[in-house]
Amino acid sequence: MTRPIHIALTLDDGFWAPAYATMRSVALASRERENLVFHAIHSGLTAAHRRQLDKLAAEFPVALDHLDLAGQPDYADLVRRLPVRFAYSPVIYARLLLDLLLPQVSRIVYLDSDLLVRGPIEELYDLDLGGHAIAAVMDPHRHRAMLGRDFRLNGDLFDYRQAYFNSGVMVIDNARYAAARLPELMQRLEASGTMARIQFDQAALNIAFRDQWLPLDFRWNLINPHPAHEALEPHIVHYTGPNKPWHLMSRTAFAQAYRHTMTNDFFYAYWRERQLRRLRRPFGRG
Amino acid sequence: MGAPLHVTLTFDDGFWGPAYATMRSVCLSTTRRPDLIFHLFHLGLRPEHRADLDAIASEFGATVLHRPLEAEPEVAAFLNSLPGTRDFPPIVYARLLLDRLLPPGIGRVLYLDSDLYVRAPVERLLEMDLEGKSLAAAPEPGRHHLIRGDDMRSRMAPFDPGEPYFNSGVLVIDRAAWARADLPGFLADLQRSGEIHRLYHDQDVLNLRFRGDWLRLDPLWNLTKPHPALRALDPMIVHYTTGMKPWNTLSYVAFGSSYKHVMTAEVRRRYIAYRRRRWWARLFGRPGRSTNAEAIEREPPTR
Repeated sequence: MTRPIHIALTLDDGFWAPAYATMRSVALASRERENLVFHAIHSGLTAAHRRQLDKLAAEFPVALDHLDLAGQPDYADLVRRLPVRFAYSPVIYARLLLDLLLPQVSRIVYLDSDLLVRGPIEELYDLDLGGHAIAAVMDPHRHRAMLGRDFRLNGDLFDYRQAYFNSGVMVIDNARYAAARLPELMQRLEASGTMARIQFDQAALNIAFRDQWLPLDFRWNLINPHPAHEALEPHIVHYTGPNKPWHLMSRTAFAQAYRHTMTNDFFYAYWRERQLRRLRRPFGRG
Repeated sequence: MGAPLHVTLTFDDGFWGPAYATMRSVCLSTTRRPDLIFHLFHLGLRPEHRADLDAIASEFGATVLHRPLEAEPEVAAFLNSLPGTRDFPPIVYARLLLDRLLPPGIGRVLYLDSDLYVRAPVERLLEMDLEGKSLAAAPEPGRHHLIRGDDMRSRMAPFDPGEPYFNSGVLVIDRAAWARADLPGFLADLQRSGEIHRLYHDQDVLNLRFRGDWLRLDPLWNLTKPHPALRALDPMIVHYTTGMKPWNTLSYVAFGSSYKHVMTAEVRRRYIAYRRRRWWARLFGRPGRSTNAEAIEREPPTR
């Protein structure tokens, strides 16, 4: 290794296979595989799935470092107070603690676990942040995300015209990230009842780093991908929206390439697991 | 008249209609029509189809030069010895022989596939700065799966998904550099070693030969898989790579309607009838009227 390229993901057991596909896509598209250091930050990951993730380090000359949140008091303290709704798992909040969880690292590329990376991640890692804490892509759904129904909510927090990023891909300057004191901010937002009316930690991050982030080209985080977008040569495809590429009948950009990136064995194993979980759910064993 | 604009297409009789539309779109999109010189290399082109292509010269004042490759047994035999499929008949390799086939004195040439709709002046490509590279081309969006195969690991060589890889449908070519690359010799070596059977047609051969020696074009110069939503991007060249072809009545592609006007209703009507006849001929096991209709059918169109 000539220099480490730190990449962090947060996942729970239900997302092991997409997280594997995301990391494998990073490795496939990178020209510096031997420098890649993945930090898999997880909660409740079973030993079997952990072994599946470890196959990545057997296939590529990359380092895969596990960080189990079970032993992290900062994380326990944070999530105890925060709301969890919809399809989200509390593990998403772990990214607010990146500076505490990875104190030895000065620069991190944070990736959601529902991505297909097609371009060299080192280009993001080496980006000149120009003194900003974060580089990210403007969220095309920002108006609804900020201002809610009829664009009349949260006027005290956001402005229709302001910039607002999608937090699925972030290049992070760890020292500046730490300076934002995100856990304290979250505590304040929760105590004032604000968390209940904003869209989770992405909104909180946008409050914390308003006007302090560098906008990236949309190709670094193409959200709501449609097959037509393949022609745009996106560097990172972000499978937001209902068309997930791990569904059997998925109509989204690069769906076939995604299945081969997850590998067919994992793709179908993950599908079978989800069906079993669905069957068990009525019996309270999901 | 300005400097000549050399454009070349290689096709067999099965693609005469789309080749006509591609050439016509080139003419329509430039004001320098008299400067255009089309170098057409084809196999088995029937005289009436050749007449259609020649009509481009009278309609636009461009020059149309033919070189029927079946008249050159050595070239035809070489092409037919290469692995083809129905979607990629041996004629696709003819672009690798361009230096041998083109007349002398040409410095820069634009190679175009025959399933394109050109919407911008070709001189922007022909007169661009190649920055010392041998060619310019647009990246292939499907490259990762194409070069790595199943599970992204069934084909570990000769390409790495971390490196760039281009689509060979639009190529801005520096003639001298192509001559130096000795593609016919390279191809013959690949054939001798048997490696040619592990390669994805001409596109792999070109990517192998010009690795690290090509300039990346804006993807809008070769927009593959053109979904109608991509009209809004005002692409310079549309490349109809999927099974949905714009000459078919029911095709959901970008500029499908404009394309039909570029091909002209009359040529399109005859081309559809021609394809129907070929389809029936193939169904009953006859080779039809195309020299390459008997080419092996083993791969779906992926490009």
